[in-house]
Amino acid sequence: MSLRKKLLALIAVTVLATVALVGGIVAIRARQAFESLEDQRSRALADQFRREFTRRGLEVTRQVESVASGEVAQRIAVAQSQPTPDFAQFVNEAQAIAAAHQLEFLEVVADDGTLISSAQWPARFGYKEDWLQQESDWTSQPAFLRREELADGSALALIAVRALRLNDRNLYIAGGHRVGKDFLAGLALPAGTRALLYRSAGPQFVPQNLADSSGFAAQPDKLQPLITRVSAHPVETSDTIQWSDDPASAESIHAIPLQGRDGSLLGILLLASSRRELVELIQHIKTISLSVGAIGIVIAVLFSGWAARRVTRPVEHLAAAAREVGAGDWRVHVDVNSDDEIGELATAFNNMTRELIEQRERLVQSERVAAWRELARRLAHELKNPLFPLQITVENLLRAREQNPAQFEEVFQESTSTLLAEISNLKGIIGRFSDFAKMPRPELRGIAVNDLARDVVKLFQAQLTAPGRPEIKAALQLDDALPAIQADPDLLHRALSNLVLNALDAMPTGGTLTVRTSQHDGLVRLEVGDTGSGLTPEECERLFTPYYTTKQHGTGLGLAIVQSVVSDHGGRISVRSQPQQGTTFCIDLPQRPPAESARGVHA
Amino acid sequence: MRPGLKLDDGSPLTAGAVASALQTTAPDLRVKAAADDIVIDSDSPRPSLAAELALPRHAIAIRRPDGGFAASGPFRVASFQSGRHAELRANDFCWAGRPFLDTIQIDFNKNLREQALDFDLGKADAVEVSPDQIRRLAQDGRRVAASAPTDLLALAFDPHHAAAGDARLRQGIALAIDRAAIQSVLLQRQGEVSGALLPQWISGYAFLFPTAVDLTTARQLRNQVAAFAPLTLAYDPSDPLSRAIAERIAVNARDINVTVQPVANGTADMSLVRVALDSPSGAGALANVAASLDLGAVAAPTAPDQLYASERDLLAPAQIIPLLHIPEAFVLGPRVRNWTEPPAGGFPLADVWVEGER
Repeated sequence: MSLRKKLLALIAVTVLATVALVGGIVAIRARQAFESLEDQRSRALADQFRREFTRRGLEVTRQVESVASGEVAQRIAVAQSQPTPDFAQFVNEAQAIAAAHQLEFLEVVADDGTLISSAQWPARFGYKEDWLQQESDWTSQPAFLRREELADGSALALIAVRALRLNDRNLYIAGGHRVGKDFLAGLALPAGTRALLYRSAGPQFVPQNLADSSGFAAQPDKLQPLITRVSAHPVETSDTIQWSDDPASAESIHAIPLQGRDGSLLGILLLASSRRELVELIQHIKTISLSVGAIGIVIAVLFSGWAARRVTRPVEHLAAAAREVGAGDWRVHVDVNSDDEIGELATAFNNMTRELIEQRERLVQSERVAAWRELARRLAHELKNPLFPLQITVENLLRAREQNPAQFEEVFQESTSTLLAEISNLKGIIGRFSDFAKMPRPELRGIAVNDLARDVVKLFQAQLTAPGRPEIKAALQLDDALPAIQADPDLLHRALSNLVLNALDAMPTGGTLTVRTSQHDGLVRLEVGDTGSGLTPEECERLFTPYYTTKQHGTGLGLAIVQSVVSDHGGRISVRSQPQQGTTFCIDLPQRPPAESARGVHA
Repeated sequence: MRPGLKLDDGSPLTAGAVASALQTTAPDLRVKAAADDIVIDSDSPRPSLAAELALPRHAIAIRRPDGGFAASGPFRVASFQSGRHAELRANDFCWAGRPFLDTIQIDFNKNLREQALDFDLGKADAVEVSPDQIRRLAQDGRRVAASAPTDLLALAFDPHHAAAGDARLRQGIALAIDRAAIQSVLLQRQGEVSGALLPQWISGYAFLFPTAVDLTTARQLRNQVAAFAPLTLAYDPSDPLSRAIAERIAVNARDINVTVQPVANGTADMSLVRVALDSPSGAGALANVAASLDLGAVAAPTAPDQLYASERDLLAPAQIIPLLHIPEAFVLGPRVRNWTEPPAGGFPLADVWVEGER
C-alpha cells in the first residue's frame, strides 16, 4: 500500500472513529438521561397510584361507615341481639345496600363470623368469614387490599371494614370496590404510559389474571418473567419489555407489588412507559452520526488526498530521482520546496548526486589518465621493439657501406628485408590498435550459441592436437534446449575465439578446455574454462582494462574487445579463478538485446 | 258410574267412552264397560288404583266432532291458547252442580313479578307466589293460601351427559348440599328439607333418607373420581328462587372442589326441577314423580315397606337428588271466598266464589 493510501486510510479511520466515539458518547448520555427521566416518571406514577389508592380507600371507608350507620344495619344488629337471631330475612339486604351506596362489594357478617348477606356472592350466606374477628377494633382501620372470592373466580378489592356493636355483639360491615380495569382506567396517566394489573394466584403465572384498563392484556407471556420475579420477591422492580421486532415497541415496566393486610402478595401493578421516544432519539443520533461520519469520510478523503499529495509528492519525486540514479542518470535534480524534513531529504539527495557525479568525473579523469599512461607505455613498449631492430639494421647498413662496400649489396638486401619486416610489424601493431578503436556496432540475427561454440572449438582443434605440444582436451558441455538468441555472429565468434585463445595460452603444459552453455534466469550463459595456473584477485579486477595483459607479448586488447562485444549485446562478462585450478570466463547474454545496444535485428 | 252423567256439552258420558279413555291412559290395565259399570282387571294387587286414577293424566276427555274436547268437570274450556291464556266457563251439566264462578281467566307463563304486578293492579284475584314470599306477604297482611309441602324440588342429573356420569360424584354433591340453609334462608323457612321423593306427611318414612351435610364423605367420594369438566346446572330463569338455589348449590359444590356453573335453562349436566306430586297417595305420588322424572316404571307397592323400597331403589343411582318439598301458594284478592287449598295442591276452583261489588 502506498504512503498516500496509508495516510488516506489513517485520516479516514481517525475521522470515523471520532464520529463514532462522539455519537456513542452522545447516545449513552442520552440513554442515561432518558433512563433517569424514566425512573423519575415511574416513581411519579407509583406515587400517583399510591395517592389514588389512598383517596379511594378513604372513599370506601366513608361509604362503609355510611352503611354501618344506616337503618338496615341497625335492624340486622337488633335482630342479632335477639336470643335466637333469624338472619334469613336479611339475606338479600347486602345487594340492596351496596346498590344504594354504589359499592361493588358488601358483606354483612354476624358476630360469630357467619355471613348474613353478601352483595358480591349472595349464595354464600351462612359461610364463615373468620378473618373479621382477628381484628379487635376496626374503628380506625384504613382500607386495605383483599382477594375476594366470587362465584366466577376471585377479584382484587379495596376493602374497608367497620363494626356495629350492639349488646356486646359486633355486626361487621365489609365493603369496597374492585381493583380492576375500572380502577386502572381511573388513573390519570400521562401520554405514553399505561397501567396493567396482575391478580396474584399463587406461584404459577396465570395469563388470564393480567389485564389493563380495557380488561385485556396482549402477549401476557412477555411479562411472565417480571411477574414471576416480583412474585418470588415482592419488591418494586423495573424491566424493559420489547413487544415486537420494532425496538420502538419497547416499554419500561415498573412493577409494584400489592400486598394485603397480612403482607401476602395479592397482585402486581405494572406501570408501563413507552420507550418509543428514547428509541427514536437514539435512532436520530445514529442517523446524525452516520451522516456526519459519511460527510467526515468524504471530507477526510478529500483532505487526506490533498494532504497526502502535499506530503508524498516530494517523496515521490525523490523516489523517481532515486530510480533514475539507479538507472545511471546521476544528473537528476530534485526541487527543494520546503524547509522541513522532506526539504532536508531533498537537499541531501541533491548533494549526494552532485557528489556522486563529481566522484565519477574524478574517477573517469583518473582512469582516463591511467589509460593514456597505459596506452603510452604499451605504445612505447610495442613500438620500441620494432624500432630497435630498425635502428640496428640501419646502423648495420651504414657500417657495411663504409667498411665493406663489397658486401654492401648483400647486407643491403638483408637489411631491406629486415626493415620491411619490422615496418610490417609496426603496421600490424598500429592496425590492432586501430581495430580496437573502430569496434563496429553488432549486426543482430538469430543464432544458435551451441553451433557457435562448436565452430570455435573446431577452429582451434588443430592447435589443440598440434604435434610437439602438450595435449589439451576440449570438453563441450552444451545445453540442447538452449534457445536461439539475437546476436552478431561475427562479433560473438571473435569474442569467443579470444577467450579460447586466452585459455590455450593459459595451459602451456596442457589441460582441458571446457566450453559450456546453459540457461540462467532467462539468460543464455556461455562459459569458457581452462585448467591453467589461474589468476590472482588483483589480476581479475584489472583483467578487462584495455591494454592490460598478463602475457609477455599481449596487447591487452583481447579481453577488452570481448567485454565490448558482450556489452554491445546487452550482456555481461565475469571471471572466476582460483590459483592452480584454472580460470573460467562466464558470458550471460539476453535472448534479445536492448534496442539501444544493437544496430538492427535480423531474423 | 253415577247415573245421568253428562259432558259439558250436554251429551251423556257413557261407560264405553270412559273405558276407552282409561284404557288409553292405563294400558297395563284391562278396562271394559259393562252396562253403567266400568270393570277394571289387573294382574297384580293395586291398592292405590283409585288414587292413581284420580291423577290428572287419567282425566277423561271426549273429543268432539269439531275438534274440541268435552269433559264432565265443573268448568269447560271455552278457549285455550297454549302457553298463554285459557278461559274456563261454568259447566251447567256438572254432576256436582254448577260452580259459583261463571268465567275464569287464566294467564300462563307470567313470572312471579308480573303476577304480583297484576295482583296489585287488581287485574287478578289470585296469583301464584314463590314459597319464599309467603312469610313476607303474610307479614304484610296479604291473604296467602298455601298447600302442604307437595312439590318436590330436586337436582336431576342428565343421564346422557358423561360429565356427571360417575355415581360417586353425584353422591358427593348430594352430601355437600346444605339443604337446611336453603330452606331456612332462601325459602324463608317454608317447605321442608327432604332426601326423599315423597314428603314425610305422605310417606311417613322420609326421615330415613339422609339430608345432613357430610363434607368429609363428600370429599372422599369426589376424590375417587377422575378429573372432569365443570358441571352446568340449569334453572328456571323466570323464577328468582330457582336461580338462588342453583347458585347456592354451586357454592356448596365448591366446598368439595367441584365447579358447578348455573345456567338459565338449556342443555346442562343437571337441572333444578320442581315436580308436583298431584296425589295424596304415596303410591300415586311416587308413580307420578317417577314418570315426571323419567325414572322408569315403579312396581305397584302394596305396603309401606314396599313403597320405601321402591323409592330407595329409585334414588340409589343418585340420578335424582331430592332437596326440599315446597308448598304451592297463592295470594288471594279480597273478594275471593271459600279458597280452600287442597293438601296435595292444585286449584280448588269449584268451590270458590267472589264477592260482588256492593
